[in-house]
Amino acid sequence: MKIRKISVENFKSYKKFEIDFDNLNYIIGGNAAGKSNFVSILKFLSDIIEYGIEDAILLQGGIKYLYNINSKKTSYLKFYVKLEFEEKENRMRKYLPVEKEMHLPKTLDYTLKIKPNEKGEGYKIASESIAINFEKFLKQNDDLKKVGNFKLNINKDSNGKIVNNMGKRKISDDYDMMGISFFIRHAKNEDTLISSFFSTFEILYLRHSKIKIYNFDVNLLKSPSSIVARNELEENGSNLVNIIQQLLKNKSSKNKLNKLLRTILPFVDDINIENNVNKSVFFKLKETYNNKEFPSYMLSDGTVNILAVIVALYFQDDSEIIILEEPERNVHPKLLGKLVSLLEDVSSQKQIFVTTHNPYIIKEANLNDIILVSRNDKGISNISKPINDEKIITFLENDLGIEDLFVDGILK
Amino acid sequence: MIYIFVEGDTDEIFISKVLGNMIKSIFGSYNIVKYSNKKKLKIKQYIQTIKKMNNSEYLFIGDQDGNIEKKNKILEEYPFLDSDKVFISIYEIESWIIAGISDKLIKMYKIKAFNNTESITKEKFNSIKPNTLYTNEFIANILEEYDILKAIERNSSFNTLYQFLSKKNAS
Repeated sequence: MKIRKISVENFKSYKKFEIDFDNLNYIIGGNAAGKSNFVSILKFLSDIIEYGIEDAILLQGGIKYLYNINSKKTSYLKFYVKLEFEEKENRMRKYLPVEKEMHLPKTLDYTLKIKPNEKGEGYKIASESIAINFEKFLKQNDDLKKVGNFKLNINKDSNGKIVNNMGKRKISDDYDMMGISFFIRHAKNEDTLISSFFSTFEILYLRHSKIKIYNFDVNLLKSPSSIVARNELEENGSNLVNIIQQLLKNKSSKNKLNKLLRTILPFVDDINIENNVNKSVFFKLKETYNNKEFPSYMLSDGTVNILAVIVALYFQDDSEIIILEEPERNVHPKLLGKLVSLLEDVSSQKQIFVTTHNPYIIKEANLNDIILVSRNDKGISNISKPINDEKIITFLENDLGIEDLFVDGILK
Repeated sequence: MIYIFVEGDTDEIFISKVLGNMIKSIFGSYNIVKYSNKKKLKIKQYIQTIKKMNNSEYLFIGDQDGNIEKKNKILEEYPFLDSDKVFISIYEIESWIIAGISDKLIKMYKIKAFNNTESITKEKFNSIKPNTLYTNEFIANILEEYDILKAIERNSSFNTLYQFLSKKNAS
């Protein structure tokens, strides 16, 4: 799954914007420009899918903090997302009987309108709509052959009344309409149309739709962790050691981790785990300089941060979209080119969003992948692509670097 | 759009706080670029690009630092600059800052009254500053209630820049 477009109105510091995304996206901007609020938009999407709309709003601090503070409460909070699915993601390739047909989603357009109460801190879901483009496949031997298209539109009003474009068309439970049929029936019961879509179609897809956000705290990365912890890397990286412990049990994962680490930190010889008597665990790095092992809490901040970024990018298989907040923290500028090459490498498989205000990262990044977040005199954040700005292109054509324009405040 | 090249952070703060609104109303928007740590080639690339752009202008502001030929020196050092776009602060930016100090602050800080600030160096500025304040605090207090009319009377080099902008504003 990839996020191809997002538009919002009255969302946190954003009044209104629409932006397209590539596989790798660097979200750049000054302090307090709105980068974290942009990440909140992605988190909002993830939370709606995972927990439903009510919890998604609560996790943003409630409608009071979600809604743009400068907007009149007569306006709606609008959220629109376009998602794209890849044919390779689906597992029906394996289970669909030969000579049977199946509709698989290709793109999804989802719009949600929320109306905050003019008095008090409540809100109402004003409307929801979902438009899904399906591709129809026929299974021939082991291959899926595309044989048609189908577009499903569903709208839900403020009273929960659902209207779809199926008309009088019979919705069968045959293979070809099975998912669509289940989705339409399921939509009436679920919290939102988008969560209904995912709970239906994740049966047909590998569970790869997770959006993972990482904002590492270097002190937590270094600290010993309890032996019992989640097997999914936490947002702040507090269970990094537990994830490494799992990886080291598998020889090929261990080799892969060591090799990737050495591409950036050539002095790393090996990584190991040690259990403490107090039921905690920490990791150790062996350096080539002296063949000695150093415990995590004695390692440099940059080394540990790079290790966490590598684990998040390469070893969290259930995440399809990865958001890294300032992954360059504590890392020497000379190594940032290599960090960018890791991001580019992983972006061939997963979609990546990176927030940064580091000029060295910006210098190494592809201009096409840069998204600028800025804030005007009234405190309203805006989002744009410098590559679409004629003025910026003129500067770049005259041998100024994008990082110069960022540092000198021309990119704003 | 106008690009204003200044030496350092204090100049940036002064321009945006004192002249920012005026500049914005004349040119629509502005960018301040600090040049003191930039290589000559980089400044040249900026200026040449701005000259190529439609609807973009630039100003280049430097400190006199006791050199009465400073403008010519800058034009020699940066031959790609246009003479009418170069402005010199006499003696330095602190002279422009202190020129606009309000009567209220003069009284409050018990500062000896002055009519001309063109000989006020950074060192003199610091000696005027009350001992109880840090320099940045003193500057912030002056700029908070900056008296432009007093400033153009007390510093002719600031008046030159102000008149240039006023003419642009009128046209």
